[in-house]
Amino acid sequence: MKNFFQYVNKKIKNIKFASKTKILIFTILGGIIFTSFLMFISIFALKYDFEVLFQNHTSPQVKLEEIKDIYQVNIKETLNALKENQISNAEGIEILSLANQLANRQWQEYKKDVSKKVGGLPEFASNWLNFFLTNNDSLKKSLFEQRITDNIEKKIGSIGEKTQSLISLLKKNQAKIDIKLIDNTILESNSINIYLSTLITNNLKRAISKKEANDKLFDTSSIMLIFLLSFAFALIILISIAIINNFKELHYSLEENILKKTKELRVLNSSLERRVKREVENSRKKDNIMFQQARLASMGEVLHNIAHQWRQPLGALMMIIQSFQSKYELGKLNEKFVEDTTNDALKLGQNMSETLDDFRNFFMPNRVKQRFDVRKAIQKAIELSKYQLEKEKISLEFSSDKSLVIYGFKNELIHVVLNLINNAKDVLTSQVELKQKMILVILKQTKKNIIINIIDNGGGIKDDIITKIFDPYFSTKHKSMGTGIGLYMSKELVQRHMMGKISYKNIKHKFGQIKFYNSAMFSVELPLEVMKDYG
Amino acid sequence: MDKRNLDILGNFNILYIEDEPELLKHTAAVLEDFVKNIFAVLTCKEALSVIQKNKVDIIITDINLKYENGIEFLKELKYDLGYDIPSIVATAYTDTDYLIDAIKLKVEDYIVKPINLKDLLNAIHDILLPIAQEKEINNSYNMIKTISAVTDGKQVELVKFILKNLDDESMFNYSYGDIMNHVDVSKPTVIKFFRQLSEKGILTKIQNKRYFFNENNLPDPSEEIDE
Repeated sequence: MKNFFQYVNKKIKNIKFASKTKILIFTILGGIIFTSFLMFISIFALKYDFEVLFQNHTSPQVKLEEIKDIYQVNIKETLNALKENQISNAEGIEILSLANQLANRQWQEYKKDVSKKVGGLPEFASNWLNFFLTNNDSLKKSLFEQRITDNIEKKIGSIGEKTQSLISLLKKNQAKIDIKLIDNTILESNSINIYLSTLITNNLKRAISKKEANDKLFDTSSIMLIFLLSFAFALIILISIAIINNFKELHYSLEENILKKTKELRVLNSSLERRVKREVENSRKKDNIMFQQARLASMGEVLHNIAHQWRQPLGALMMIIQSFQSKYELGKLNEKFVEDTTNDALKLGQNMSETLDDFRNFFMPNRVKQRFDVRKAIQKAIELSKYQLEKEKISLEFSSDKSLVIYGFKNELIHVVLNLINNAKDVLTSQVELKQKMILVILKQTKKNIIINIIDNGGGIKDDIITKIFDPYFSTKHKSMGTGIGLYMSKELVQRHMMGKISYKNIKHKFGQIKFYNSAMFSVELPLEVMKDYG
Repeated sequence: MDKRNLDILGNFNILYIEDEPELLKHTAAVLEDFVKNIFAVLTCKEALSVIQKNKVDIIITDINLKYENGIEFLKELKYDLGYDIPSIVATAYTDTDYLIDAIKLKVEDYIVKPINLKDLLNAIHDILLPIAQEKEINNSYNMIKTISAVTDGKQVELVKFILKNLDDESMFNYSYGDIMNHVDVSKPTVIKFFRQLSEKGILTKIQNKRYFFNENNLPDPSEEIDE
């Protein structure tokens, strides 16, 4: 049994869940349908048996009893009364003919009843069941019964004739009645009564045997039903158990799976946390490197600028030195020339020295807040980008209301302005057809903010990339020109270090006298309060 | 480099364009000792007005001027305005673009910044020398023509023939008869003229039909004029 279960379980495991349910439902349905079919068959068969018992074997007995009474009471009694002249002839005729008629009719009805078939579904069911039970109909009319029936018929006939002749004799009003005929008739009616009794007994016997067959039928169908029902139950229970077991197994395996996955998730989660931490660190490092890169990039530009700023006074200085030699050779080296030229040379040297200081101050990693003039800081940034602008033939205009002293990171502000000017410069450089290239730097003060606007007439930025311009590594420039971090770095410096805002707008702006240009405007907004707080 | 005679510069006017005031000032201060006039200007506009008002013999210009380009200016000057003035460009770049432009424009020379004064003077000298020499030749020619106008024409003809027929070793290989076949003079005139030259050591007889022309014994023309 255990092996069988295992086998079934194994089989069921391989079947799909939906199929399993289908099998269960079909089993239940099949059990119900088969059981109900059998029940109906049995009920109909029983009904048939009952009908047959009643129609063929019970209700006809009543008729036989009546016939018996007719002969016993009416005919026999009337004949006896005639013999002793207790009744008149007329009465005798009437009773006898009536009795004869009655007996004949009852007999015909009896025959009809007996031969009547039940038919219909019950008979079909009974036959079908009998076929299964191999219960042959042993209750066919026996020869004995047939002969009795024949005799009764003969006797009814002869009694009828005899009473008929008696009636005709009575009608002739012959006072002297044929006693012999009367006696004979009485005898006959006695014998018919005996036959009738025998038939009744026989019929009852048949009813009894029929009842026994019926019992047998009932028993068999009951057993069959019970067997079938139990089989169906067993099957249902078996399959249900199998399916439940299967469910259980499924449940356990699912639970196990979930546990496993949960464990994996937990592990993943913890490693994820570590990874996120590491990535954040990495990105911070990357940012630092990026800032360094941007710093180096702008350092390169400024260095370029300074190189040029140095080259000019250096050329002049070299010329001055050569002029001394030349004047000396020509004998024209007088005191005035030496004085004037030396002064010039010293001024040039001083200038060069200052340029170096500017550079050093700007790139010193000086993260100390200090009081400084915003206007001067912007001018410094413009100074640092002057050479590049001249080279690209870009004119720069700076307008401000007044000098504004604030407290903050000077170098960072210079850096931001320098970045924005460089950005504008790069855009303008790429605009080959543009005749007049201009940058406008405007410094304003509102109640709460300092606003630095940097406007160029390079046409502005296309709408589809406007949102990306402050993203790191986003650049419209050729790789050789831009690193794509200038604006990102500016944003970071303004937002994180200066608590300010940096924004961009495409505008139409009037440059010079008449012409309106599509222009790009970067605005740096620095809150006065934050900057002054430490002042 | 051999030492050049920078005295010839003294007869010329120079236009110097440089956008950097300090350099302009000091370079001009040196150059003014060597040339007749130095016009030192900061912009092309000023330069153009100088050219229109004065005789300029040579232009020295920086290529990278404030909002301007020296080569563009020279181009305009040469092709649009029809001035053909020798020029030198000064540049801090060794940029090939500029050089190609300069070569196309047939700029006479270029100097690299920072300026080496000697290089600049030499460059100016080398450009001006042919012009000075041409002037010199022109002068001499005119002088001879003047002399021949006031003295005996025959002697001048003879000098011309002698100088024309000197061989590579400054030898004159002609007899008196040969000379008379070429120049329409009498024999006594030839003999007299040859004696005069021989006395001054200018034409020395080596052998028959062979005379040596000694250039070094020629008197200095200026001294002669002074006399």
